[in-house]
Amino acid sequence: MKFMKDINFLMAVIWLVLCLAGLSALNWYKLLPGPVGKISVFWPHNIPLERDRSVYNLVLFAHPKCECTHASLIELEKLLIETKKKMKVVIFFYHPKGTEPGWTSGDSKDLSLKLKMTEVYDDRGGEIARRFGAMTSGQVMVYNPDGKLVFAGGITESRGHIGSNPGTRSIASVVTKGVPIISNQNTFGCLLFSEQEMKEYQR
Amino acid sequence: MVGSNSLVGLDEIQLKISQNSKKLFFDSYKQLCIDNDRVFAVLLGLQWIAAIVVAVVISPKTWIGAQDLVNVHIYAAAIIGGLLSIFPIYLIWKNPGAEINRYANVIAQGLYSALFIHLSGGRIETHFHVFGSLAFFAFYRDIKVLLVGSIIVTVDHLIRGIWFPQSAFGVLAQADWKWVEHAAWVMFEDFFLGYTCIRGIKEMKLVAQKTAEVMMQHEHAEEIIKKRTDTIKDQQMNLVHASKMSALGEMAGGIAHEINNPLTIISSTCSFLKKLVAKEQLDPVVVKKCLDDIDKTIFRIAKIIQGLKTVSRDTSGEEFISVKLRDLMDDVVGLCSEKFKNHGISFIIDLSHPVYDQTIECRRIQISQIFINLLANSYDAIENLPERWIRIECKDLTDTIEFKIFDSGQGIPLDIQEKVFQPFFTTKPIGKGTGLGLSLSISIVKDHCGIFSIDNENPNTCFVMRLPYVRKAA
Repeated sequence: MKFMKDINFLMAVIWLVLCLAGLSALNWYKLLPGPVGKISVFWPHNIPLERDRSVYNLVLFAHPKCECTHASLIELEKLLIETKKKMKVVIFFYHPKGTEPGWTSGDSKDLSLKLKMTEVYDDRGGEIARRFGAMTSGQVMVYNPDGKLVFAGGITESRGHIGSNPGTRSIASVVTKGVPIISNQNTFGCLLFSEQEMKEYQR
Repeated sequence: MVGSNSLVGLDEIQLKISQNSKKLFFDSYKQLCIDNDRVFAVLLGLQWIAAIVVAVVISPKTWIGAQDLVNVHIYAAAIIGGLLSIFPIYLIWKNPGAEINRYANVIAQGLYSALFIHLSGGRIETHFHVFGSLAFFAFYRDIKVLLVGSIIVTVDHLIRGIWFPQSAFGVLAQADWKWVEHAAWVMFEDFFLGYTCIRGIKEMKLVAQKTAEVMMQHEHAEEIIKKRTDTIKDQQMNLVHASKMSALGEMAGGIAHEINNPLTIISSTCSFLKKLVAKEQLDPVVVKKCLDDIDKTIFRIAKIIQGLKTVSRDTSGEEFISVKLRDLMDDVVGLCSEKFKNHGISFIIDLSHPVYDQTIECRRIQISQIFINLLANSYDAIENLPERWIRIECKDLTDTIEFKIFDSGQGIPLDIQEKVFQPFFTTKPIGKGTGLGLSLSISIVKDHCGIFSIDNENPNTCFVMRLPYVRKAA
C-alpha cells in the first residue's frame, strides 16, 4: 500500500499511459491508408503499353523516393516467386514534371530492375497512374488475361512494413488458383501527386 | 547452569549471524540493483539515440509528389524514445536501486522492442531485441521482474497481434495464435533465465551467510585481541612505571642526602636559637638571620620534594601542556644535582641562559623522565672514570628545541648503538638497570614528533633530543 501511495507510482502510471498513447499514435499513422482514385476496371486503351493476353498483368505504381516502396518491392518479389511465370509485372515510377531525367534513380529503382519478368518505366507527370486511377505509392492493380480488374490495393499491411498481408495472399490466390480472396485492399505509402496535381487530377 | 548458559550464548550467536547475513544479503542485493539500474540507464539512453539513428537511416523522409517532408518515424523515435528513456532514467537518478526502477526499466525495454519493430519496418531480426531484453531483466536475479517483463511482452504481443499484427510480429503475421508461439519462446528463455536467477540469489545468500560467520569469528578474535592488548598495555605501563621508579631509586641516595643536610642545618639552627632563648641573649638581627636560613633550607627541601612528586607521578593519560624550559629543567636538576655533587661529578647546566625562557608544548613528566633516564645512564657510565662530568646544553633551532646531554664517557660503541634503543637491552650489571630507559625515551620523543639520536661526531658520549615547540598533529 505504501508503494501504491508513492508519488513515483502515479508518475509511472501517467508515463505508461503516455508511452502507450505514443505507440498507438504511431500504429494509427502506419495504418492510415492513402487515397484511391477512380480505378480502371478494364485495362485502359489509351496508354502506350500493351497487356500480355496470355497471363495475368500486374501494374505497380511507386514513388521512387518513398521508403514504403522498398517494402512493396520485397513483397512483389515474393509474389513473383509464388506465382512463377503466370504473371507479367510492370512497375511505373512516378516522375514529376519539371524534374531532371535521373530523378527516379535510387535504391527502389535498382531493386525493381533486378526483379525477373518485370518491366520498369518512368511515369512522366503521373499520366499512366491517372489512367489507371492510382494516387498512392504502392498501388497495385491486377488484370486477368481478358483485361478485367481482379485486384486493386496495396501489398503491404501498413506503411513500409514488410511481411505477409491480405494483398499478396489475394493476388497469389487469384493468379495461381483463379480464386480471389479480396478484390480491394488499402494502400499504404506516400502520395504520388502534390496537392495541386491532385486538384487537376480530380478535375 | 553452565551448559544452559552456553546454549543461550550459542542461540544468540546464531541469531546475530542470521541478522548479519540478512543485512549483508540486503546490502549486496541493493548494490546489484544499483549497478543494474545504471546499466539500464545507459542502455535506455543509447536506445533512444539508436532509435533516432534507425529512423534517420531507414526512413528519413515522406513524399507528396516531388515535395519531401520529415518522416513521422523521426518524430516518433525522438518523442516516444524520449518518453521511454527519460522517466526510468529519472527514477534511477532519483533513487538508484529502488524496486519501482526495475519495473519501469522492464516496461520501457518491452515497449522499445515495439518501437524498433515499427522503425525497422517489421524486420524479423528486431525480435532479437525482445530476447536480449529478457536477458537484461535477468540481471536483477528477480523472478518477479522476469515474469513481469515476460507478461508485458506477451500481453503486448497478444493485444497488438489482434489489432496490429505486423507491429508485433513483423513478417511473421500469418495466424491469430502467433502470440501463443511467441509467448512459448519467451517462456522457453524464461525457464533458463529463471533458473539462473534462483541460483544467483541462492549463491548471494550463501556468500552473505559465510561472510556473516567470518565477521562473527573476526569480531570474536578482535575481542580476544583487545583483551590481550589491554593486558599487555597494563603490563607495559607497569614496566614503564617500574623503570621510572628504578631511575628515581638510583637518585634516591642523593635525595636523602640532600634532604638530610638541610634538616641538620635546621636542627642546629633551632638548637642555637633555643640556647639564645635560654641565655636571654636574643639579638633580633641574629634571630632574623637564623630564621632566614631555616626558611631558605625549607624552600630547598620543598623544591626537591616537588620535583620528586612531579616525576614519580603516573603518566598514563598525561596531557600536553605548555611548560617553561627552566621549570622543566628545575625538576630534573633538583632531583639529580645532589647525587652528582656527592660523588664528585661536575654537573654543568646554565639555567640562566635566555633559551630556558622559551616554552614548549609537551607531556612534562614524560620529558623529565627522559632526562632522569639519560642522567642516570651517564652517572652509571662515568662513576668509576677519573674524569667525571655531565653537561646539558640547550639550543633554539627556530621550530624546534635541541637538547644535548654530554658526559665524560668515551661514547657508545657503534656495534651496540642500535641495540641500546631496544627494550630490555642493558650493559649494566644485573639488578642495576631495567634496559627500558632508552627504548622508552625514544618512544616518548616519537610521540612528541621529535628526534632522538646519538651524536657520534663528539669525542664524548652525547645524546641529542629535538622537540618541536608546538605539538604537531599526529
